[in-house]
Amino acid sequence: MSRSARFLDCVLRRLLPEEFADDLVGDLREGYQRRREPGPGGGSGLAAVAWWLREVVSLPYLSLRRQAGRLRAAGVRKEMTFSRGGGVMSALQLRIAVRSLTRRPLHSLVAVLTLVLSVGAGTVVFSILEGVLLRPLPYPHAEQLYLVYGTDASWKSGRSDFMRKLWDRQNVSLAMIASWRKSASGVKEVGAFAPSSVRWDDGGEPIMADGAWVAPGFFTTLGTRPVLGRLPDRDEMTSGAAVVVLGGHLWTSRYGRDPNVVGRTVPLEGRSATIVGVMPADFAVPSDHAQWWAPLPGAFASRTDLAVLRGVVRIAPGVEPATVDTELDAGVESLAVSNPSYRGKGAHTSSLRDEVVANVRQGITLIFWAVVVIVLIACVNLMSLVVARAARRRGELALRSALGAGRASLVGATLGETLVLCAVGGGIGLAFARLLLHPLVAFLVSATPGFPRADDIHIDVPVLLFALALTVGTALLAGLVPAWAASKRSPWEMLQEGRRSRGGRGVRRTQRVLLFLESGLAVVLLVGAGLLLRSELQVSAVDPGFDANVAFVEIQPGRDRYPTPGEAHDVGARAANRVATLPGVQAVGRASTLPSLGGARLTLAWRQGEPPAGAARLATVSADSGYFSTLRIPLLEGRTFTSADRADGEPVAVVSQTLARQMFGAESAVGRLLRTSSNAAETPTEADAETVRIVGVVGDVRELALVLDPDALLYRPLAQSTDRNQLLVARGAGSVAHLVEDARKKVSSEDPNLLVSDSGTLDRAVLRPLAPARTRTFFVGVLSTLALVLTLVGIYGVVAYVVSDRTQEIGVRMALGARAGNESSRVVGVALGPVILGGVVGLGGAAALSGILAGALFEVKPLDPVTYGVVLGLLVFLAAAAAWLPARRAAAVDPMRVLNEE
Amino acid sequence: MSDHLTDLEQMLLLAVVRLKGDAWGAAIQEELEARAERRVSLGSIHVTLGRLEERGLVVSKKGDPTGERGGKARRLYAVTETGRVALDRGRRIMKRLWEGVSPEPGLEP
Repeated sequence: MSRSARFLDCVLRRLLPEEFADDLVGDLREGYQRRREPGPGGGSGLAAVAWWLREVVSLPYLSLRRQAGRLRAAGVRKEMTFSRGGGVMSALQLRIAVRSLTRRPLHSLVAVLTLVLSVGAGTVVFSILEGVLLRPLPYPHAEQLYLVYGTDASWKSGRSDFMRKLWDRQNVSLAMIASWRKSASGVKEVGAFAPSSVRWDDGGEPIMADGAWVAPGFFTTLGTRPVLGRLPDRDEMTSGAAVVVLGGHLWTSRYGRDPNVVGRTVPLEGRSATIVGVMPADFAVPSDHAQWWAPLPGAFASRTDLAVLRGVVRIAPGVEPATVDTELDAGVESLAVSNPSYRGKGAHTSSLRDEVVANVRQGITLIFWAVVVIVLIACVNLMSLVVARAARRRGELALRSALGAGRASLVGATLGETLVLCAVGGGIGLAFARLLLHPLVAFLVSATPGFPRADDIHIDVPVLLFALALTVGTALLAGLVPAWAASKRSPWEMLQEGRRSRGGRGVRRTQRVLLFLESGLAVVLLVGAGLLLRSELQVSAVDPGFDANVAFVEIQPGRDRYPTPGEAHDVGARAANRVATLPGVQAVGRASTLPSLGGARLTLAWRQGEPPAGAARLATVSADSGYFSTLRIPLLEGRTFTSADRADGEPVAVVSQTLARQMFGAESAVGRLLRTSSNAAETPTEADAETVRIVGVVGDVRELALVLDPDALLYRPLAQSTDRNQLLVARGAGSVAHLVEDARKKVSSEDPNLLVSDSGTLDRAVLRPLAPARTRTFFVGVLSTLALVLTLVGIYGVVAYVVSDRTQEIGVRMALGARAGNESSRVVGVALGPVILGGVVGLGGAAALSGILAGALFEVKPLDPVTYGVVLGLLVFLAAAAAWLPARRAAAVDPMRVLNEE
Repeated sequence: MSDHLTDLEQMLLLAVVRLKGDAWGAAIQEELEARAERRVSLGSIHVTLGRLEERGLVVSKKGDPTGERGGKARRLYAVTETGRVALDRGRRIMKRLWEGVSPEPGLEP
C-alpha cells in the first residue's frame, strides 16, 4: 500500500463514526483493489477511482442518516431544528444544507467549480514549492554545504555587460583548492568538480551522459554514501584512476538496477573506466542530470593552475559564510605571491541550496503568489454566492429567529451549506491536483532544461495538510462572515425585509464591495502577467546578431601531445577539415569561445599614439577564417580573417560595430592601429603591448540570454593567439542535433585522445538561460486568465442576482414607461461601478507591487502605461459583456405579469 | 419498534442470505447492483446493517484477516432466525397484496 493511500485511510478513519470506521475503510480499499484488477467485474484504474470517489463523497450522508435515525427515534426532530442555542453545526443542519444545495444545482456547481479550481491550483503549486524550495537537500547537514566560485576584479571593471555580470562566477583551480585545504579554518571539507558531458558507449545505444570530473575531497565533502559498491579511494582520486561512480538514474535506466554492474568497465573519454559504485538517485551535484562521477584525469591534475573547476565546501558549524569568504580570498592571495596570474582574484561561497534552485526560485515564488491571488478571488466569489443564498433564505431565517432560534443556530444554517460545498470542492480539487501534478511536472521539466528536484515533488503529508487548511480556511472565510452578517438583525427587522424583497440594500452593498475586491485582485495579477508577457515579446524580438542554428564541439588539446599553441591550432584545423567533409555541412569555423557560452579573454586596448592609461578592457575572442560566415555574423566594413593571417604575419584584428564606434566615433576603423596588452590585470604599459591593425568591422552579437547590452568585442586570428581550447562550429543543411553527434565522431577520429569537453547545439545553449523565464511567464499568464474568468463569473452571478431580486421594481418602471434597453444598461451599470473602481485601485496596487518584477523585465518599465491601460480596458470590456448576459433578462421582464403578481 | 422492513432493508437481508456466509460490504453492494439493479453506497449499507443488527435481524463477526485490505479482517454478516421470520413476513404481506392483481399493464383486479 502506498504512503498516500495509507494516509487517506487514516484520515477517513478519523472522520468516520467509530463503529463503522474500520469496516468501511477496509471495504473501500478492498473494493477499490477489486475494481482495479482485470478480470470479470474488474476494470480500469479510472473506473476504480471513480467508484472510490463516489463512495467517499456519499460518506457525509452516513453520519447524517445515523443522526437523523436517532433523532427520529427520540422524536426530537422539530425541537432540534428550532432549538435555542445548541451547537453551531448539527447533523440536521448539514442534512438540510445538502438538500438545499442539490435543489439549486447551478449555484452549487459554480461554487464547487470555484473551489475545485482554487484548491486544485493551490495544492499543485504548493507541492512544487514544498518539494523544490522548502524541503532540505538530501545530504547530511545540507545547510553546511556551499559552492565556491572564483572572482576576478578585472572583470568587474570590464567594459561589457556580461563581463560585469560574471566577475564573481569564475572557475577555480586545483591550486586554490589545495591552498584552502591548508589554510581556511572555517572550512571543514573542500572538494571540486568540473561538470562534463560524455559519450556513454558501453555496447548499447550510445548516449550523451552528464556528469562530472571530480577532484579529491568531493565525495567526503558532500558526505553521501553509495547505495552499491564503494567510492574511489584517496589514491584513485589523486592519481586520476580510470574508475567511475554511477548515478542512481543511469543505474536504473541503463542497467536495470543490476547489482553486478560494479566491476564492469565502460569507455570514458578514451579510457576504459571500471564502475566501482552507484550513488543514490537523489545525489545531484552538479545537477539533477548528473549520472556519473569520475576522478579528474591526470591531464587536469598536473595543471594545477587551470581554472576549470567549481569548488564545494562544507563549512564548520557556527561559522558565518562571510568569514569563510574572507579566508578563501586570503587563500588565493597567498598564491599570488608566487604566481602573478592570481593577482586581483579571489573566491566566495554561495549556498548549495540557493544554487540548486537559482533558476526557478523567482518563478516558483511568483507563481505561488499568483495562486494566492486566485484563492482570494475564489473566496470572494464564494462569499458573494453565499451572501445571495443567505438573502434568499432571509424569510426562513427570520421565522426561525422569531420562533426562538439562537444566533449560533442561524449561523450554522448558512455555514452548513458552505461547509458541504467546501468538502466536496476540496475533495475533487485534491483529486484533480493529484491527477494533474505529474503531467504538469513533466511539462515543467521539458520546458525548463535543468529544472531542479523534480523527483522531490509529491503530494505528501505537508501538501495534504495544506490542501485541508486551504479548504477549511476558504469555507470559514467565505461562509462565516456572510453567515454572521445574515444573523445580525432583530427578528422583526428580518421579517419585514424578508417579506419585502429577497435581498435588500445590505446584500447589494456587500456584493458591490466583493466585486470591487475581486476586480482589484484580478487587475494586480493581470498587470503582472501583462508586464511579463511584454517583456517576453521584447526578448524574442531581440536580434542576437548571429545564427545560433549550429552545432559546436569544444576541444582541449593537452600540452603533452601539442606543446605549442600552433600545434594545438593545427589539430583543431585538421579536426575542422574532417567535420567539413560530413555530408550536408555548409560552413565550419573555430573560435576560442562562442556567444553566450562565456569565457572570453580580456585584453587592454588603446589607440596608438595615445597614453595607455586610457586603455579599455575588452572581451577578446580568437577566431579563424570560417567563424564569421558559419555564425552569419555580418561583415560591415573591410575584411574578416583569412588563412594568410598567420602567427608570423602582421598582427591584425576585427572589431565589433560597438567597439568601432566607441573607439573611433563616426570615422572608419579599418586600417587604424591599436595597442593591445593581454596582461589585463596589470596597469598597461607600452613595454608589453603589441600593435595590431584593424582590418574589418563586423556586426554586434549579444551575449548571455540575449538580454545584455551588445558587446564591444575584439576578434583576433586564432593563429595569432595563445588560446589552446577551441570550439568547432558547423552549420549544416539537416538536423543540427545529428550534426553534433557526427561532428564529435569526426573530431575523435582525428585524435581519439583529444579531450572533448563540451558539445551541443548553440541555439539550445543560447536559449537555455531564457527557458525558466518563458515557463514562468506562461504559468503566470494561465493563472491570470483563470483569475479573470473567476472575476467574470462573479460579475455574472451578481448581476443575475440583482436582476432576479429587482424584477418587481423593473416591471413597475417599465409599466410607467421606462425603455427595456435603459433598464438593462442600468443593471449593467450597477455592476460596472465597483468593477471600474476596483480596477483603478488594483492598478494602484499593481504599481506599488511592480517593483518585485523589475529584475525580471527586459526593456519594459514596471510602470509601463500600455500594459496598465490594456488591462483596465480589457477588464471593463469583459465585465460589461459578463454583466450584459444576465442583464438582458431585465429587458425581457413583462410588466403585466409582474403587476399581476403584485 | 415494529418489525416492519423497508425496501432497502429487505433487499439487504436477501443479499446477505444469498451470499451465504461471504456477505461483507462491497460484496453486498455488488450483489445488489447485479440482481436488484440498485446502487447503494457502502456507507448506507453499513448504516442499515448496523440498524438491522441493533434490531437483532442480523449478526456480524470478523472474518479472517486478508492481505488485500492490509491485514485487516472483513466484517461478515449473517441473517438471524428473527431476520428470516421478518423476511418471510414481508414476503407474505407482498404476496397477499398481489393476490388478484394481474401482472398485466393496468393492474386492474
